[in-house]
Amino acid sequence: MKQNLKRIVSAMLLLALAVSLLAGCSGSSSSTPAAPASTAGSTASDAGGAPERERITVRVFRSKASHEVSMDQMEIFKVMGEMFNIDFEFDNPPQENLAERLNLVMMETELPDVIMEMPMTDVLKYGETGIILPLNDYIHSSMPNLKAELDKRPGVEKALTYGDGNIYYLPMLDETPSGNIPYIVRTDWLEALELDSPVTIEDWEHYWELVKTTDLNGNGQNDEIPFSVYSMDPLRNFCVAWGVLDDFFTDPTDGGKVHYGPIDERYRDALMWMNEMWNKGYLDQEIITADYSSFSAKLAQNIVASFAGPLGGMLAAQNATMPASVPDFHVAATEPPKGEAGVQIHSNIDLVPRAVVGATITASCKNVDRVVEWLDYMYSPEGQLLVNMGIEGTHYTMQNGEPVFTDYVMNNPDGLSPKQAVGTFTIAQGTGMPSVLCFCETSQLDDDAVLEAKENCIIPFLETSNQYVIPGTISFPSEADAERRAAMADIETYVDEMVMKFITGRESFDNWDTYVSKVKEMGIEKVIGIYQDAVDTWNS
Amino acid sequence: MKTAVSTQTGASRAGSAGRLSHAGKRIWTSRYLYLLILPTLIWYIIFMYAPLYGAQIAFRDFMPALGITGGKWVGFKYFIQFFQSEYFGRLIKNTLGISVYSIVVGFPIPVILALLMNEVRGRFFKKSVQTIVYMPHFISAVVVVSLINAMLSPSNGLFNQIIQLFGGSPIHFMAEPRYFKTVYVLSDIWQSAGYGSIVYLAALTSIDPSLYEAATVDGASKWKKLLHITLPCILPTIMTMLILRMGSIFTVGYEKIMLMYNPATYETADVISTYVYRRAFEGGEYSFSAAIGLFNSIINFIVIIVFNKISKRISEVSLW
Repeated sequence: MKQNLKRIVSAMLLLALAVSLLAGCSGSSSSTPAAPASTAGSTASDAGGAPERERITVRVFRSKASHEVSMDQMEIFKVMGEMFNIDFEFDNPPQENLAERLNLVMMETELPDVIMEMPMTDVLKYGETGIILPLNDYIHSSMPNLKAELDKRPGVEKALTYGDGNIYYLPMLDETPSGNIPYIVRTDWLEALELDSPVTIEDWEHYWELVKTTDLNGNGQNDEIPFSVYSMDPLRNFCVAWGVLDDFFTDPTDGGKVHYGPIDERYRDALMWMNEMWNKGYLDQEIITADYSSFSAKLAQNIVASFAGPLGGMLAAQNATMPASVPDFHVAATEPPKGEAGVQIHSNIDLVPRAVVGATITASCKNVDRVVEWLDYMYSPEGQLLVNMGIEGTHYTMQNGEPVFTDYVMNNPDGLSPKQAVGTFTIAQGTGMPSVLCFCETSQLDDDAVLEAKENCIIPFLETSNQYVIPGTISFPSEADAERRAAMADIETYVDEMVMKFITGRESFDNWDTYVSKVKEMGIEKVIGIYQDAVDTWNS
Repeated sequence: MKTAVSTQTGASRAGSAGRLSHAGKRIWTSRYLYLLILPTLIWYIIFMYAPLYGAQIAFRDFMPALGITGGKWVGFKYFIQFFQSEYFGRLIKNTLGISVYSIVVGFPIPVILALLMNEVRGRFFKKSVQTIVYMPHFISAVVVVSLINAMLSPSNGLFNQIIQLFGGSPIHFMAEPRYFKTVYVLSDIWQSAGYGSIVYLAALTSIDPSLYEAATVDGASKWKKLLHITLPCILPTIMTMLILRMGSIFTVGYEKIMLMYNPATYETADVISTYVYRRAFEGGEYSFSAAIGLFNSIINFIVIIVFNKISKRISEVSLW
C-alpha cells in the first residue's frame, strides 16, 4: 500500500488525461464503410465476425501483473480485434493498486465498457445500483460457448447467481486450486540439518532453533533469520495450527457457525506461541516495517531460512533466480502447520472448481451485443486455446492433439521466464480473463516445485480447508455491506495494532479480555451476524 | 492610480445605475491590474470554489452511479459517526500533536537559518550553503521515507551502527510509537528548513542599511543589532508566516505519514488525513470521508480567524 501513493498521483493525472481523451474517442468509432449486398456470402462466415460490420471501440479495464506487457501490446487482442472488428482501448493500471484505481474509475460518468477482475465484494454493490449489467439473459440467449462450459460444471451457475437472482460477472473458470500462500522452507538447509520438512508447530520451533545456532550460509556470522516475511499477515496465519483463521471463518467444531478469529481463545494461544518465538529471536524483528522490496533484499542475502509467499511469485521465482549466486539454493512449500487442534488448514484457498470474477459489462457500454459476442468467443474451444496458449505456430504447436508451447515460451531467446514470455502475448494463466484456464497451460508453465507443492501440500488439505474458509463468492445486501465496511474499518485497525503488540510483547496477555470486550464494543457481533446471514444464504 | 480613483469618487452620483457605471469606469481605469489577477481568480473559481459543490456528499448517501445529487439526504449522520468513532480522540490528539511539535521545533529553524546566512560574508560560501540546504525540498516524500528507513534500519542502518559502536543495543525506530513524531518532524525540518528560509532572506534584504550604519556609529554590538534592528524588521514576515502556518494546524499531510507508519506505530502516527484516505480509497466510503474532510476544513478556518485576531491585537500584523 505504502509504495502506491506515487502511483496513485500519476494514475489520477492519467485519469484526467484519459477522461479528456475518451470524450473524443467513444463517440467517433471510425465507421468502416458497410458493403452490403456486393460481398460474397463466403467471407461473412469467417470465424466470429463479418468485417463489413461497423468498427467499434471497446474500452477495457484490467490490472497489469508485473510479468505482463501492457495489454495494448498483446497479440491476442490484436487477433480478436480483427476477428470482431473491434478497436480495444485499455486502462491497464499495475496490479498493486487495482482496488484504489478502480474506486477512482467508478466515480466517472463514462465508465469503461468492460471491467475485468472487479473485486467480488464490489460486484453486488455496483450491480444493485445498475452500474454493471445483469447478464443472465445474455448468457442464456447469446453466449452458447459459456453456456456449454457452465453446463459441464454443475453448481457453478448457482454460485455465480447473487441473492437478487442476477448474474453480474462472466467467470474465469478454473479446475486447479490456486491463490495459496504456503509456508516455504530452504530444503538445502533442512538437508544440512538432517531434518524433514516441518509439519507440527514443534517441528518448526526445532528447525528455527537449529537455524539460529548453526552457520548454515557459512559466512562465519550468526546472521541467519529463521523466519521472515513481507508483512504481518503470513506470520499471523500460523494460527491455523490452533484451528482458527485470521479472519471470519466457519467453525466445523461449532456446527459451522461463523467466528471471528482474532478474538478467539485459540487465537490467543497462537499469539502466545508467536510471542514466545519473537522473544527467542526466531522471527525477524523487521517484519513490522517490512515491505516486499526490503524482504526480497534479505532473501537475496541468503540469510532467510523460512518464509511464506505465493507459489508462482515466490516459490518458482526464488528457485529460478537464486541458484545463480547460491548454487545449492532450493526452496519448497510445506504442509499447513499442525498443532494441538490436529487439523491442517489452508486459509487462502478458492473453491474448486473456481469461478472467480472475469468480466463485468458496465451500463456505459453502447454495443452490448457485440461485446458479448466477443466475450463468448473466449469460452469457445478456439478462444480458450488463443487465450491460454497464444497463436498456433508462433507460440504453440499441436503435438499428439495437445498444444505445446514453442521455444519462444520455454526457452525464450530474450531470456524471459516462461511466464514472462507468455505475458508478452496473452494474460499468463488467465487471471481474471473471462475464459477457461486450461490445464495445458498451467502444467507447462509451473515449475516442478510448484507442481509438487500443489500435489503434496495443497490439494490433500482442500477438503478440510473448505470447511473453514468462507467462500469468496458470498455477497452481502448493500445496507448490511455498508454497515460491515464501516464497522470493520475501525475494528481492523484496532486488531492489527493489538495483535502486533501481543506478538512483540508490548501488550501483556493479561489484557486479552479487555481487548476482546473492546472489539465487541466496536460491533463485531453484528458483523459476525451479517456474515452468518450471508453464509446461510449461500448454503441454501 | 489612487488619485484617479479619488477624482472619480467626487464625480459619483446617487442611484444604482450611476454606481454601476462608476464601478465599471474604475475597473476600466485599472483594467491591466484586473487582467493580471484574472488567471488566479479563474484558477480559484474552477479548482477551489466549484468543487465545493461536491461537498454536499458529506450529507448524503453517496453512490457513484447516481451522481453527486443522487444520494438521499442523511443530515449529519456521517459527522456523528465520526465523533462517536473509536478513533476520534486519538486522531485529533495525533494531528494536533504532530502539528504543534513541528511548529514549535520547526518554525524557528528557517528564521535562524536565514539570520545565520545573512551574517555570512563570503559570497560563494553563502550561495553554496543556500543551495545545499534547500535542495532536499525537491526530493519526493517516497524517496525521503526510503532514506529514513535505510538510515534507521535496526540491522544495517547508519544510526544503529553508531549506537552499536558505543555499545548500545539497536533500536527499531520505525516500530516504536514514541519515536514516530520525532522522526517525522526532524526529517521534515531537514527537508523544508532551507526552502522555508528563502522568504526570510528576502525580507532581510529589504532592511534599510542606514539603520545598521547608525547603530554602528552608536557602538551597538552585532548581537544588539540583531535584536533591535533585524528581528523587528522581519517580524511582520514572521508573523504572517506563523498565521498561515496556524491555519493548517489541523492538517497533517497523509503522503509522508502513510509511507512511514505501520500498525505498531498507529497509536502515535494515525492522523485525520490518513484515516480519511483509508476509509475513502480502501473502504470506498466516500460520504463518511467527505464529512471528516469538511469538518477538518471548518476547524482550520476557525483557527486561522481566531489566530489572526490574536495576532492583530498583539503584533498589529494581520492577514486582512
